[in-house]
Amino acid sequence: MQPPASEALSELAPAPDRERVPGPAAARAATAEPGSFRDRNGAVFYRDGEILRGISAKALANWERLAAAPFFGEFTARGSIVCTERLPDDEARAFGEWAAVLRHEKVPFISYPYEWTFGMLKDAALLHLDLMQAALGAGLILKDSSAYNIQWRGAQPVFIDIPSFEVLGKGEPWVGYRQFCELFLYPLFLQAYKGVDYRPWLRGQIDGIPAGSLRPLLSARDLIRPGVLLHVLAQDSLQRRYAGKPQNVRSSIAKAGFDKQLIVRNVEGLRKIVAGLQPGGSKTVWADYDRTHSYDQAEFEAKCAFVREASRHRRWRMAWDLGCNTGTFSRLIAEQADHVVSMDGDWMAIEHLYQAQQNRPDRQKILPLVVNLSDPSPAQGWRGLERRSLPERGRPELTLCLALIHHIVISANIPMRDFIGWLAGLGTSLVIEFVSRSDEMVQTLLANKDDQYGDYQQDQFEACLAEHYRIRADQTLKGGKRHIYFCTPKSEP
Amino acid sequence: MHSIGAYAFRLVIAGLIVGMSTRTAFAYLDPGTGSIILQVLLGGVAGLLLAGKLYWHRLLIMLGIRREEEAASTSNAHQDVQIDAATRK
Repeated sequence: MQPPASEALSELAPAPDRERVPGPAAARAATAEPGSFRDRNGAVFYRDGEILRGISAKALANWERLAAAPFFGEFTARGSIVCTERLPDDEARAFGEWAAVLRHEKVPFISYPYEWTFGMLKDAALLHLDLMQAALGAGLILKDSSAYNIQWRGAQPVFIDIPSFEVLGKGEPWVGYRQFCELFLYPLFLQAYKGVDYRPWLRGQIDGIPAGSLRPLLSARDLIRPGVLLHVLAQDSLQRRYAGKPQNVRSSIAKAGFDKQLIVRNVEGLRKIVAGLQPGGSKTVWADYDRTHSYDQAEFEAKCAFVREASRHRRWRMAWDLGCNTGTFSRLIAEQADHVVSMDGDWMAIEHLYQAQQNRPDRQKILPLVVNLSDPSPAQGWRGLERRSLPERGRPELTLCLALIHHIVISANIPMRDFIGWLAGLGTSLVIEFVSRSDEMVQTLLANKDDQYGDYQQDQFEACLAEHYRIRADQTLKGGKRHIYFCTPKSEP
Repeated sequence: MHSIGAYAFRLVIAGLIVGMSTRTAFAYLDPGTGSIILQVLLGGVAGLLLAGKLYWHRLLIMLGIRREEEAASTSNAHQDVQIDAATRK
């Protein structure tokens, strides 16, 4: 089943096009997930903040096998598979057509592979292969291999598409192999072997990168790199050879004795290849921010103290750290927030944060994402509803916006008033830092540009803030070159 | 990592697996004919033996020792599916 990012196992903001689930009265309060349509054996819907999934009789039989398999309990206990339970039959009957209804745990925030770093996509691929190996051992298989079936609990990958597990028929091949290549393996190859950012490619094609699109980029030297000859070249050649022909090799190979051991060997081989991949390309601008930011130690600690104090205003369910860099301040606010989504346009800074989170106690609280705020992920897919835009996936209660405004206004040419208006539209409390024209970072940005930013002045900035917010605290930083504010929406008492 | 020779051998075998024609029921995701054939080659030693066996069937058919219908007689479903890149999923 392919679903789901869209199948957003998260509490989503209301979408106008979301349809009511047809059926008896009890089910009418449920709304259907518009991205959950590819596999007719199930559909996701929401009711009273719960994530429910109706499943067909066939999918129910698979669920019963899965629920009884020891590996399912083990992966769920360690957080690698989303917690799932079956609704009692009398409750499920209210949903009409389905043989059964499952209830899933909520994932804090839905994200998409085009927002993940190399390390995240690689770990998601490894989890998928681990689940394949475990499932094969239990006579099951993952029938599809969509990268969108993996979501994140902070920096921990979690598999969410339960009906993807099905009983493996005798002689059946791995139906999701090509999809694994297109949504996991080829994007990783692109970055590892060519130093090319795969995110624009994945954002551009919901089904991933076809072998035929990757092949022309490969040089003779690439042919000897692990996995290229067979998984890319041979696959592309074979696909071309058989494209458009009504031949069905599936039962031919079944008859000849295709066995699950062949799938196991393939999965083992892929695991070895993926585990060995490292991101190519050169170092990005902000990757060393922790060591190269423009504050001296005392001023940096003053900034930390202000952010920490502001975050103690109350407990936050969800916070966003926009322009988070390597996440220093995300960790500060994580002390007062259930979940933090940390976003930055610099993938290496986010990779740094992701890797550093792996051994920290707040690993499950901070989700690092590669997002360029001046060009954030759009809504896309069928009817523009399969994948959601950023704010449609759930809004924060606190937004952090430190040392970002000069990049938005001067680098991205977004009018300051527009940007503050957008922030205010989130309806959250805000910690924001104004970087003045005397700051060397602003001077660097202006060095080779026409200065068309007459509005970029502290008094005008404060006037913009005052339109939407009540400023509760503020402080001068860096000897007057910067100023930090803590504001709450005017609508709040 | 396998040697180039071993890869080349697999590729040659892949090229020999042609003309198989049967019918079966499919899942919603089209695995791709080429990708299924490749999975035989990615299945290690057992995969190569299977590839040889498939080729042996083809050889017998070509030599007239075996008829095509016999080779295809295992099919038990009746859904004809057009496979190409545009119809998957």
